[in-house]
Amino acid sequence: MVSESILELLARATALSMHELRAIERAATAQTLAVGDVVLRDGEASAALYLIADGEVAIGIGDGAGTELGRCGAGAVLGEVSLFDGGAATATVTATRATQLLRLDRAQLDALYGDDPHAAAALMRMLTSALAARIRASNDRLEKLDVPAAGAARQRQPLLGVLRSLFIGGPS
Amino acid sequence: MTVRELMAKHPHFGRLSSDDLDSLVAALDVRDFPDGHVFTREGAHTDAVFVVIAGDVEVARDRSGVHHELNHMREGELFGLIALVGHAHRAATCRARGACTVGTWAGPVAHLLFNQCAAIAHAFQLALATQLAKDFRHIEQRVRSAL
Repeated sequence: MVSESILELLARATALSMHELRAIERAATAQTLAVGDVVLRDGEASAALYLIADGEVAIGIGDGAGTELGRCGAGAVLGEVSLFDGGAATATVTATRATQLLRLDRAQLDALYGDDPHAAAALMRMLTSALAARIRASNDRLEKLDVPAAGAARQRQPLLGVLRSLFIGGPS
Repeated sequence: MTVRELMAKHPHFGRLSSDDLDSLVAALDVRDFPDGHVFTREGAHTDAVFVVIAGDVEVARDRSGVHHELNHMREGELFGLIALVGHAHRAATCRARGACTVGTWAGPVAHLLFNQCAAIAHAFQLALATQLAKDFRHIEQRVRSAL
Protein backbone atom coordinates (compact mmCIF):
# COMPACT_ATOMS: atom_id res chain seq x y z
CA MET A 1 0.00 0.00 0.00
CA VAL A 2 1.23 3.47 -0.88
CA SER A 3 0.91 6.04 1.89
CA GLU A 4 -1.35 9.06 1.67
CA SER A 5 1.66 11.40 1.86
CA ILE A 6 3.27 9.72 -1.17
CA LEU A 7 -0.01 9.96 -3.07
CA GLU A 8 -0.05 13.68 -2.27
CA LEU A 9 3.44 14.07 -3.72
CA LEU A 10 2.37 12.03 -6.73
CA ALA A 11 -0.66 14.30 -7.23
CA ARG A 12 1.74 17.25 -7.44
CA ALA A 13 3.94 15.41 -9.95
CA THR A 14 1.07 14.45 -12.26
CA ALA A 15 -2.23 15.79 -13.54
CA LEU A 16 -4.05 13.24 -11.38
CA SER A 17 -6.24 14.25 -8.45
CA MET A 18 -6.08 12.59 -5.02
CA HIS A 19 -9.45 10.97 -5.71
CA GLU A 20 -8.14 9.50 -8.98
CA LEU A 21 -4.89 8.38 -7.39
CA ARG A 22 -6.71 6.63 -4.54
CA ALA A 23 -8.86 4.77 -7.10
CA ILE A 24 -5.76 3.79 -9.10
CA GLU A 25 -3.99 2.70 -5.91
CA ARG A 26 -6.96 0.49 -4.95
CA ALA A 27 -7.00 -1.18 -8.38
CA ALA A 28 -3.23 -1.60 -8.64
CA THR A 29 -0.69 -3.84 -6.97
CA ALA A 30 1.84 -1.88 -4.93
CA GLN A 31 5.40 -3.00 -5.49
CA THR A 32 8.53 -1.97 -3.58
CA LEU A 33 11.96 -2.11 -5.16
CA ALA A 34 15.41 -2.03 -3.61
CA VAL A 35 18.35 -0.42 -5.38
CA GLY A 36 19.35 -2.65 -8.30
CA ASP A 37 16.00 -4.43 -8.67
CA VAL A 38 14.95 -4.76 -12.30
CA VAL A 39 11.31 -4.00 -13.15
CA LEU A 40 11.44 -4.53 -16.91
CA ARG A 41 14.11 -6.18 -19.00
CA ASP A 42 14.69 -5.13 -22.61
CA GLY A 43 13.33 -7.77 -25.00
CA GLU A 44 11.51 -9.81 -22.36
CA ALA A 45 7.74 -10.27 -22.09
CA SER A 46 5.89 -7.60 -20.18
CA ALA A 47 2.16 -7.13 -19.66
CA ALA A 48 1.65 -4.35 -17.15
CA LEU A 49 2.14 -0.65 -16.78
CA TYR A 50 3.88 0.85 -13.78
CA LEU A 51 3.30 4.26 -12.27
CA ILE A 52 6.26 5.39 -10.19
CA ALA A 53 4.84 6.60 -6.87
CA ASP A 54 8.16 7.39 -5.24
CA GLY A 55 11.86 6.85 -5.90
CA GLU A 56 13.87 6.72 -9.10
CA VAL A 57 14.66 4.25 -11.88
CA ALA A 58 17.24 4.16 -14.67
CA ILE A 59 16.06 3.46 -18.22
CA GLY A 60 18.52 1.64 -20.44
CA ILE A 61 18.69 -0.41 -23.59
CA GLY A 62 20.22 -3.86 -23.74
CA ASP A 63 21.02 -5.06 -20.25
CA GLY A 64 20.75 -1.50 -19.02
CA ALA A 65 24.23 -1.52 -17.55
CA GLY A 66 26.14 0.02 -20.41
CA THR A 67 23.63 2.23 -22.20
CA GLU A 68 21.63 4.21 -19.72
CA LEU A 69 19.36 6.70 -21.46
CA GLY A 70 18.25 8.58 -18.37
CA ARG A 71 16.31 8.41 -15.14
CA CYS A 72 12.67 8.83 -14.15
CA GLY A 73 10.97 9.56 -10.86
CA ALA A 74 7.53 9.98 -9.34
CA GLY A 75 4.76 10.33 -11.87
CA ALA A 76 6.52 8.54 -14.74
CA VAL A 77 4.71 5.64 -16.39
CA LEU A 78 6.62 2.58 -17.58
CA GLY A 79 5.65 -0.51 -19.56
CA GLU A 80 2.75 1.07 -21.41
CA VAL A 81 4.04 0.24 -24.91
CA SER A 82 4.19 -3.51 -24.24
CA LEU A 83 0.88 -3.47 -22.41
CA PHE A 84 -0.89 -1.93 -25.38
CA ASP A 85 0.87 -3.50 -28.36
CA GLY A 86 1.55 -6.87 -26.74
CA GLY A 87 5.25 -6.82 -27.66
CA ALA A 88 8.33 -7.28 -25.52
CA ALA A 89 9.68 -4.63 -23.16
CA THR A 90 11.52 -1.91 -25.06
CA ALA A 91 13.99 -1.06 -22.28
CA THR A 92 15.55 -2.27 -19.08
CA VAL A 93 14.31 -0.42 -16.02
CA THR A 94 16.38 -0.66 -12.83
CA ALA A 95 15.76 0.98 -9.46
CA THR A 96 18.50 3.44 -8.55
CA ARG A 97 16.84 4.29 -5.22
CA ALA A 98 14.28 2.59 -3.01
CA THR A 99 11.21 2.87 -5.22
CA GLN A 100 7.49 2.32 -4.90
CA LEU A 101 5.44 1.45 -7.95
CA LEU A 102 1.80 0.94 -8.71
CA ARG A 103 1.47 -1.97 -11.13
CA LEU A 104 -1.62 -2.38 -13.33
CA ASP A 105 -2.08 -5.24 -15.74
CA ARG A 106 -4.83 -5.30 -18.35
CA ALA A 107 -7.39 -6.92 -16.04
CA GLN A 108 -6.69 -4.35 -13.33
CA LEU A 109 -7.00 -1.51 -15.85
CA ASP A 110 -10.37 -2.91 -16.98
CA ALA A 111 -11.43 -3.26 -13.33
CA LEU A 112 -10.45 0.37 -12.71
CA TYR A 113 -12.72 1.38 -15.59
CA GLY A 114 -15.54 -0.55 -13.98
CA ASP A 115 -14.98 0.92 -10.51
CA ASP A 116 -14.05 4.49 -11.40
CA PRO A 117 -14.25 5.37 -15.10
CA HIS A 118 -13.13 8.96 -14.43
CA ALA A 119 -9.92 7.82 -12.74
CA ALA A 120 -9.22 5.32 -15.51
CA ALA A 121 -9.87 7.96 -18.17
CA ALA A 122 -7.58 10.42 -16.37
CA LEU A 123 -4.80 7.83 -16.19
CA MET A 124 -5.22 7.02 -19.89
CA ARG A 125 -5.17 10.73 -20.79
CA MET A 126 -1.96 11.20 -18.81
CA LEU A 127 -0.38 8.16 -20.40
CA THR A 128 -1.36 8.96 -24.00
CA SER A 129 -0.37 12.64 -23.63
CA ALA A 130 3.08 11.65 -22.39
CA LEU A 131 3.48 9.07 -25.15
CA ALA A 132 2.36 11.55 -27.84
CA ALA A 133 4.75 14.24 -26.55
CA ARG A 134 7.65 11.79 -26.56
CA ILE A 135 6.86 10.60 -30.10
CA ARG A 136 6.69 14.19 -31.30
CA ALA A 137 10.02 15.07 -29.63
CA SER A 138 11.66 11.93 -31.06
CA ASN A 139 10.46 12.75 -34.57
CA ASP A 140 11.84 16.28 -34.13
CA ARG A 141 15.26 14.79 -33.37
CA LEU A 142 15.01 12.04 -35.96
CA GLU A 143 14.37 14.37 -38.86
CA LYS A 144 17.70 16.09 -38.16
CA LEU A 145 19.53 12.81 -38.73
CA ASP A 146 20.28 10.96 -41.89
CA VAL A 147 19.00 7.66 -40.54
CA PRO A 148 19.68 5.47 -43.58
CA ALA A 149 23.36 6.38 -43.19
CA ALA A 150 23.26 6.33 -39.43
CA GLY A 151 25.27 3.18 -38.92
CA ALA A 152 28.35 5.35 -38.78
CA ALA A 153 29.78 5.74 -35.29
CA ARG A 154 29.36 9.52 -35.47
CA GLN A 155 25.59 9.06 -35.44
CA ARG A 156 25.54 7.00 -32.24
CA GLN A 157 25.13 9.84 -29.75
CA PRO A 158 22.40 11.63 -31.75
CA LEU A 159 20.57 8.32 -32.17
CA LEU A 160 20.77 7.67 -28.45
CA GLY A 161 19.36 11.18 -28.06
CA VAL A 162 16.35 10.14 -30.13
CA LEU A 163 15.83 7.12 -27.88
CA ARG A 164 16.22 9.37 -24.82
CA SER A 165 13.42 11.62 -26.14
CA LEU A 166 11.31 8.58 -26.92
CA PHE A 167 11.69 6.87 -23.55
CA ILE A 168 12.09 9.78 -21.20
CA GLY A 169 10.95 12.91 -23.01
CA GLY A 170 12.27 16.38 -22.61
CA PRO A 171 12.89 19.08 -25.16
CA SER A 172 13.78 18.08 -28.69
CA MET B 1 -15.06 -6.10 -46.11
CA THR B 2 -17.49 -3.43 -44.89
CA VAL B 3 -16.37 -0.59 -42.62
CA ARG B 4 -18.37 -2.13 -39.79
CA GLU B 5 -16.68 -5.50 -40.29
CA LEU B 6 -13.28 -3.80 -40.24
CA MET B 7 -14.12 -1.96 -37.02
CA ALA B 8 -15.46 -5.18 -35.49
CA LYS B 9 -12.04 -6.77 -36.12
CA HIS B 10 -10.29 -3.98 -34.21
CA PRO B 11 -9.00 -5.22 -30.83
CA HIS B 12 -10.77 -2.46 -28.87
CA PHE B 13 -13.68 -1.35 -31.07
CA GLY B 14 -14.51 -5.02 -31.55
CA ARG B 15 -15.30 -5.29 -27.82
CA LEU B 16 -18.09 -2.72 -28.07
CA SER B 17 -21.74 -3.76 -27.99
CA SER B 18 -23.42 -4.01 -31.39
CA ASP B 19 -25.31 -0.72 -30.79
CA ASP B 20 -22.16 1.15 -29.70
CA LEU B 21 -20.26 -0.18 -32.69
CA ASP B 22 -23.07 1.04 -34.94
CA SER B 23 -22.82 4.52 -33.34
CA LEU B 24 -19.06 4.59 -33.80
CA VAL B 25 -19.34 3.59 -37.46
CA ALA B 26 -22.23 6.00 -38.10
CA ALA B 27 -20.07 8.90 -36.84
CA LEU B 28 -17.34 7.98 -39.29
CA ASP B 29 -17.26 9.87 -42.60
CA VAL B 30 -15.83 7.32 -45.06
CA ARG B 31 -14.56 8.50 -48.44
CA ASP B 32 -12.28 7.44 -51.26
CA PHE B 33 -9.26 9.66 -51.88
CA PRO B 34 -6.85 9.93 -54.82
CA ASP B 35 -3.08 9.50 -54.65
CA GLY B 36 -1.47 12.54 -53.02
CA HIS B 37 -4.51 13.72 -51.08
CA VAL B 38 -3.39 15.55 -47.94
CA PHE B 39 -5.37 14.61 -44.80
CA THR B 40 -3.37 16.70 -42.35
CA ARG B 41 -0.71 19.30 -42.97
CA GLU B 42 2.07 19.81 -40.43
CA GLY B 43 1.46 22.89 -38.31
CA ALA B 44 -2.29 23.09 -38.99
CA HIS B 45 -4.73 23.26 -36.08
CA THR B 46 -7.37 20.58 -36.65
CA ASP B 47 -8.53 17.80 -34.37
CA ALA B 48 -10.04 15.14 -36.61
CA VAL B 49 -8.95 11.53 -36.20
CA PHE B 50 -8.63 9.20 -39.17
CA VAL B 51 -8.71 5.47 -39.76
CA VAL B 52 -7.36 3.77 -42.87
CA ILE B 53 -10.09 1.59 -44.34
CA ALA B 54 -8.02 0.53 -47.38
CA GLY B 55 -4.73 1.65 -48.89
CA ASP B 56 -1.63 3.40 -47.59
CA VAL B 57 -1.20 6.80 -45.93
CA GLU B 58 2.29 8.26 -45.59
CA VAL B 59 3.23 10.27 -42.49
CA ALA B 60 6.05 12.70 -43.31
CA ARG B 61 7.65 16.06 -42.69
CA ASP B 62 9.29 18.37 -45.20
CA ARG B 63 12.22 20.49 -44.10
CA SER B 64 14.10 22.85 -46.40
CA GLY B 65 13.13 20.80 -49.42
CA VAL B 66 14.07 17.50 -47.76
CA HIS B 67 11.32 14.91 -47.41
CA HIS B 68 11.44 12.92 -44.14
CA GLU B 69 9.23 9.87 -44.24
CA LEU B 70 8.21 8.93 -40.70
CA ASN B 71 5.70 6.13 -41.06
CA HIS B 72 3.07 4.46 -43.21
CA MET B 73 -0.40 3.75 -41.92
CA ARG B 74 -2.36 0.85 -43.33
CA GLU B 75 -5.73 -0.88 -43.02
CA GLY B 76 -7.26 -0.51 -39.57
CA GLU B 77 -4.62 1.92 -38.30
CA LEU B 78 -5.46 5.31 -36.80
CA PHE B 79 -3.62 8.51 -37.60
CA GLY B 80 -3.82 12.16 -36.61
CA LEU B 81 -3.58 11.21 -32.95
CA ILE B 82 -0.69 13.30 -31.68
CA ALA B 83 -2.43 16.62 -32.32
CA LEU B 84 -5.65 15.30 -30.78
CA VAL B 85 -4.03 13.92 -27.65
CA GLY B 86 -1.58 16.78 -27.20
CA HIS B 87 -4.11 19.53 -28.11
CA ALA B 88 -1.41 20.87 -30.38
CA HIS B 89 -0.83 21.62 -34.04
CA ARG B 90 -0.40 18.76 -36.49
CA ALA B 91 2.93 17.03 -35.95
CA ALA B 92 3.29 15.81 -39.55
CA THR B 93 1.72 15.79 -42.97
CA CYS B 94 -0.37 12.71 -43.77
CA ARG B 95 -0.81 12.03 -47.47
CA ALA B 96 -2.46 9.25 -49.53
CA ARG B 97 0.08 6.97 -51.23
CA GLY B 98 -2.01 5.65 -54.07
CA ALA B 99 -5.79 5.63 -54.01
CA CYS B 100 -7.14 4.91 -50.56
CA THR B 101 -10.29 4.83 -48.46
CA VAL B 102 -10.16 6.67 -45.17
CA GLY B 103 -12.70 7.30 -42.43
CA THR B 104 -12.73 10.57 -40.51
CA TRP B 105 -14.09 11.28 -37.07
CA ALA B 106 -14.38 15.06 -37.10
CA GLY B 107 -13.31 16.54 -33.76
CA PRO B 108 -16.73 17.82 -32.60
CA VAL B 109 -18.46 14.61 -33.70
CA ALA B 110 -15.91 12.51 -31.84
CA HIS B 111 -16.21 14.61 -28.66
CA LEU B 112 -20.01 14.40 -28.74
CA LEU B 113 -19.87 10.65 -29.22
CA PHE B 114 -17.39 10.14 -26.37
CA ASN B 115 -19.33 12.35 -23.99
CA GLN B 116 -22.51 10.41 -24.70
CA CYS B 117 -21.11 6.92 -24.27
CA ALA B 118 -18.50 5.86 -21.70
CA ALA B 119 -17.93 2.51 -23.42
CA ILE B 120 -17.05 4.21 -26.72
CA ALA B 121 -14.81 6.72 -24.93
CA HIS B 122 -13.04 3.84 -23.17
CA ALA B 123 -12.57 1.85 -26.39
CA PHE B 124 -11.30 4.95 -28.13
CA GLN B 125 -8.77 5.73 -25.39
CA LEU B 126 -7.48 2.15 -25.58
CA ALA B 127 -7.32 2.36 -29.38
CA LEU B 128 -5.36 5.63 -29.15
CA ALA B 129 -2.93 4.12 -26.64
CA THR B 130 -2.46 1.02 -28.78
CA GLN B 131 -1.79 3.03 -31.93
CA LEU B 132 0.63 5.34 -30.09
CA ALA B 133 2.41 2.25 -28.73
CA LYS B 134 2.79 0.95 -32.29
CA ASP B 135 4.07 4.36 -33.43
CA PHE B 136 6.53 4.39 -30.52
CA ARG B 137 7.83 0.94 -31.43
CA HIS B 138 8.16 1.93 -35.10
CA ILE B 139 10.52 4.79 -34.15
CA GLU B 140 12.36 2.71 -31.55
CA GLN B 141 13.04 -0.12 -34.02
CA ARG B 142 14.07 2.30 -36.75
CA VAL B 143 16.61 3.97 -34.45
CA ARG B 144 17.88 0.71 -33.00
CA SER B 145 18.47 -0.76 -36.44
CA ALA B 146 20.61 2.28 -37.24
CA LEU B 147 22.64 2.12 -34.03
